[in-house]
Amino acid sequence: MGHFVGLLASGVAQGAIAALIALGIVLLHQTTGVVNFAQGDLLTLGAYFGVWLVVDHGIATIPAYLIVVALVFGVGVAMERIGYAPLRRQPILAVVISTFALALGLRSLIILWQGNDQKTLPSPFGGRVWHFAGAAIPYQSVLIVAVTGVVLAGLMLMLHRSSIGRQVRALAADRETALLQGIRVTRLSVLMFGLSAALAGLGGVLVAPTLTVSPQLGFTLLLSSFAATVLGGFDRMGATVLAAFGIAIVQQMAAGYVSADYVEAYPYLILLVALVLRPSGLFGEVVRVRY
Amino acid sequence: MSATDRAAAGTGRSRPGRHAPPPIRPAIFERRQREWVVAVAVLGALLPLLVQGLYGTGIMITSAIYGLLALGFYFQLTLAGQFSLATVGFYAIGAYTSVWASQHGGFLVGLVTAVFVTGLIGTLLKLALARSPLIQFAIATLAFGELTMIVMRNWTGFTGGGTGRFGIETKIFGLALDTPREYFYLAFGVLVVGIGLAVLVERSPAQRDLVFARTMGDVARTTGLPTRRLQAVAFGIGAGYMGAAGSLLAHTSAFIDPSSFHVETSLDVLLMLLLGGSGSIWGPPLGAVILTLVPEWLRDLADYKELVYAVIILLVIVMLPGGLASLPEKVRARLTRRPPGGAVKR
Repeated sequence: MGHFVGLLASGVAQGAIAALIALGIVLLHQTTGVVNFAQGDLLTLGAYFGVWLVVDHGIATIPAYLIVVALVFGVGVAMERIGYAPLRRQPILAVVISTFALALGLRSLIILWQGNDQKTLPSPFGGRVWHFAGAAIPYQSVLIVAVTGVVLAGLMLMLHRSSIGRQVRALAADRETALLQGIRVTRLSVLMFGLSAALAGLGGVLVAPTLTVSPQLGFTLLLSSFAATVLGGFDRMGATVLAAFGIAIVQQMAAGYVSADYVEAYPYLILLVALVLRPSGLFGEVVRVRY
Repeated sequence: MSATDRAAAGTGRSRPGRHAPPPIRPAIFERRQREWVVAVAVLGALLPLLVQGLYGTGIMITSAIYGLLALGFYFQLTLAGQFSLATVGFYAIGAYTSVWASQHGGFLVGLVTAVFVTGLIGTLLKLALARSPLIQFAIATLAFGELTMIVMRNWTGFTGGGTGRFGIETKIFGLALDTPREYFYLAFGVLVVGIGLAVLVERSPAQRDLVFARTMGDVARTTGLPTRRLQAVAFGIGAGYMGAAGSLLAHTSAFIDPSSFHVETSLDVLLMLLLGGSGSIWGPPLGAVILTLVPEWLRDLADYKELVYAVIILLVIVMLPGGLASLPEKVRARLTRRPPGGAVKR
């Protein structure tokens, strides 16, 4: 039983991180049509900002986390200016490739800044664990899940209960109509780039204490989040969050009970099988056209 | 929203307010393609007279291998119309398959087996993912590449695992090749054959059909064109080119292990295609040669290599979407005041 609860807990914690990244991807894609492949490196950047502030400058945890989120938000805005704004009239492939270029650039800047060595970000709780149902759950995992829950609730409230949320939903529904209604779509797109980057940055600073921080940190996490996004059909936030938790829990269970050798392979397998069977996502309706 | 709009857009949702201009093919290399192949073959055959020594020859071999990879990517992107990140997967499968098969009959058996196996896997992958929109396909291929590398690391019986495969022999009809110069001629010979086959495809009706299928999607299907099958085969051929590149890597370096293959390989090849130009078969090899040489010239800036790459990609997409291969045509258009490419060709 303890084994099972432990696996479940680490699955939920990983799912929360994947959900944060995946939500950023979905939010950005819905409003601008862009799938940002730099999302993983934004997460890495968040982790490094965390190390820089907490370890190098000794700033307290909560202000440090907030500063990280603000900084990564700024980086997201800068990315919009550099990699998206000049390409507005280009086909989608050009924008996708440019996000790859941005990812590459971001990663090399991180390496130039912090080097290739692995770093660690201490958890605000140290190594303390919470004994629950026979399992030892690190408090950091609890923190991850709690913060993710709060952020998700805040995001939903913002989207459905505020003026700016209404504008974002209008933009997601139809960009041109939104423009005709007087919504400042360009400014809103910039905001969305920043917001989705901030979500990734938050994920990075939260996950960093449970792993070692290296420049490649974001890449593997990005792929599991992509799996969640694909399963969610790229357009439903709730489905995406659900898929993120599902994939992470399945991965942990498979690693714990089936075989740990291929633990890194499970998200990719799930992703490939899902795309083969349900290209529009698990919950999306399929538009079938026969000729 | 019509089904056509959905198919045309990246993830299956249309992108409002965006109208992609029809890609224009640089016409400069259209004529005399076969003469160009001969010219390239002759020039390449004379290269070892100019470039001596281990270092220079090594760079030339690498360029030839990357040329094949980029050509495969051209088949997948320009002809099959799919942005794929599985390059490194096919590259690795090709290399290990070739090593395994060449133990039973020399290099040629290894090469052919590698091409066949990767081609088959590529075709099946594209068929299985035929309903995936552009972005999902890219993500799936990224996963495929990673999955391949995980399998290669763990399947020790086939790949030797972390220790890799040593002492790979290169024998053609019982003749053992072992000097760098012989390796260069081998790699370059395969590249020329690859370019020659690509020229044949370029001049065949299949190329027109494929471009039709890529640009018009559902319209092409309504005319009775078996687009799915055509694109799957084109994607498979591209994978086969990458398999050939992997085979050459294994047989010219005599040693491979999982660290010979990085995810970055997929991105490097993409950059080669972008830089050289994705609208012509001459773009990919050109980009491969340039991007193998540039890091050698910029040795002092090795730390900044990735950053330089990123900047180059951004600059090329924004300022020169046709790549370097479209440059002569652009210059000529400027001089004769005619629009580049004349009529829209592609």
